[in-house]
Amino acid sequence: MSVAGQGAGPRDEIGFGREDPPPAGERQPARPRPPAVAPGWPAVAISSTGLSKRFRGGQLAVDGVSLAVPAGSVYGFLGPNGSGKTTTIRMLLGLIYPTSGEHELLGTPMPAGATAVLSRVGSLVEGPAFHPQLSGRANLARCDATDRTADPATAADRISAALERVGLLAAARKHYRAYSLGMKQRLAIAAGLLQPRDLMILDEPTNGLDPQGTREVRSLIREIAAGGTTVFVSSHLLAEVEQISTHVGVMRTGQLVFQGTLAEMRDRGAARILVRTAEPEQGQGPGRPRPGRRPVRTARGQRPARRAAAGGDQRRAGARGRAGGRPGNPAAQPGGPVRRADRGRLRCPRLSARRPAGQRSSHGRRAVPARGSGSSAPSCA
Amino acid sequence: MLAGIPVLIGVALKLSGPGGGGGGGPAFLDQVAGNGVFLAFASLTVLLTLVLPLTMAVVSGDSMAGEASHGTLRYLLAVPAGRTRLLAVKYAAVVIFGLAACATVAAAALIVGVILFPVGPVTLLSGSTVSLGAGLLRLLLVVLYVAAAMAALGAIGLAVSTFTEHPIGAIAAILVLAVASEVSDAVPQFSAIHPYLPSHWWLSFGAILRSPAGGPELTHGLLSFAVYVIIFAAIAWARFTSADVTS
Repeated sequence: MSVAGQGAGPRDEIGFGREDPPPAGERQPARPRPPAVAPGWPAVAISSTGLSKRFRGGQLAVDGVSLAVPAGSVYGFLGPNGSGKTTTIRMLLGLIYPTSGEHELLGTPMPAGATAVLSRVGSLVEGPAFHPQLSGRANLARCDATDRTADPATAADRISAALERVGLLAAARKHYRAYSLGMKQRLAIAAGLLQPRDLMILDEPTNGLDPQGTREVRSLIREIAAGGTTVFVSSHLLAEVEQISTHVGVMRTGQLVFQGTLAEMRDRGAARILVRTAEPEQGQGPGRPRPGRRPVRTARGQRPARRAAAGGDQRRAGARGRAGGRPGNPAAQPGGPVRRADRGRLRCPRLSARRPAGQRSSHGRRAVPARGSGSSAPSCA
Repeated sequence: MLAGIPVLIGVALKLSGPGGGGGGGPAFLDQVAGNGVFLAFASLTVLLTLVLPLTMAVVSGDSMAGEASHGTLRYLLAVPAGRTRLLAVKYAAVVIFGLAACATVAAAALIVGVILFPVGPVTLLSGSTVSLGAGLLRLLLVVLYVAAAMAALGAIGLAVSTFTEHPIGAIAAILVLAVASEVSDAVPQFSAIHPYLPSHWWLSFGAILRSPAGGPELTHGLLSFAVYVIIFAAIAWARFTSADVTS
């Protein structure tokens, strides 16, 4: 079905720091690089082996998840709703007991070592939850008082610092029930920032936020990560995760189908388009290849072919290429689709998608079978 | 609210005249007219039937289920608070609330009794008389005994609370248990199980008001409370430390 086994296997297959260099001349927005591991830190902040959870009722929510989150990285935990992301996060934090498997946080086996290690972990699980009748500051004071490792003498200063980092200092005295959703989310993140943390586990931190709020949370996560904290962010939006993550793990129906750096994930999803046409020189198009696209190879061919939808989101195919892509779209087109202008000039091109050797797409298609000439459906535009 | 009821009782007794009530009412009420201190005992007796168990049910039923329904339980555990420690702190809060409730009732009744009725040396149930100071000391012991009874109920409530995410369900269940216990206690056909019911020993504090304070009832009562606390605290601990927190 997929290359899941390879991605989710032993840690040395992850390849920390190994990335393809960007093509020459290509502009890319600043991407966070996986940082070197600081000495004295565990090399892996979160690790799990075969973590599974079967609920009473027989539902297998999480099936053999083996995570390896490198220390100091921003790890994006992707997956559609219902794929078991939140259940996995609850198991990591010791809220739910796994049916089988083991896991460690910051090198400490869990859930046995929960009291020892959780004070170094800040978390946001399934939305903010505070007492409505207390103010934001009072809620944080209550959180801080529960933490035995927190020094009560510095509590007020730390609360103010945390509120300022998330931008809630002005609204700190309002009752929690008067907060907007964005403010509630930010208060939840502030609760995780009350003390210096080695690990932050954030379950959909931008859930329900407007674009401005989403930007603010993203920059906050970058800032936290820049301070050396490992950040584990779960989301169902690849676009979000792409902008902040260095490593990615993809869940689907309870299984971890991919784990690795962001560049590896893009590589896995990449495919080349093979255009067979009677006029190969038309297919090249003027100028150099567009940035981010793969060059189009052409080969001489005769038969009319099924029209391939040249749109489609490479990233969607890449992210969910293993996670049940589009069965009705035979020529998945990451990389270099034929440009619309050229398609008109090409006579009935035959398009096929070739993936890099050794990999299979999830829907197992390769070359597009050519349609018979008797077919009534239009085969090319 | 708890303080309001003794006030009501005191005013009602005062208004009904010195001979009002006779022997048909609950214990101690007829003695209140003679000595205001007895208003405290009377109030405790009256409130023990329903109101004090109700307040204990509310507080203990809300202790864990309220956190779960608010969603704050998962954050408390992630701080980390430690499941056993959290349970212990919650139970301590329940016990302290029970003590405060009983003390409030007694204090309010005492104040009202002193205002409305004559106060003097206290006549004990066994007939002898002790000074006012000693009488107040016995009042304190009674308050402690009732608080122990309520702590036992609180332990039952804590255990029920760990099984649900809906505080109102927990509160209702505890109250039903308390009332069922009292009703069974009143049915003579169940006399075999009477000593094992939690509410059977609640009103046994009359033994404190006898000349040698103490007696088998008192020790039985305290033993019953201790056993209930141990059993239900263990149930609550076992449930809470092994349950999945999905709220």
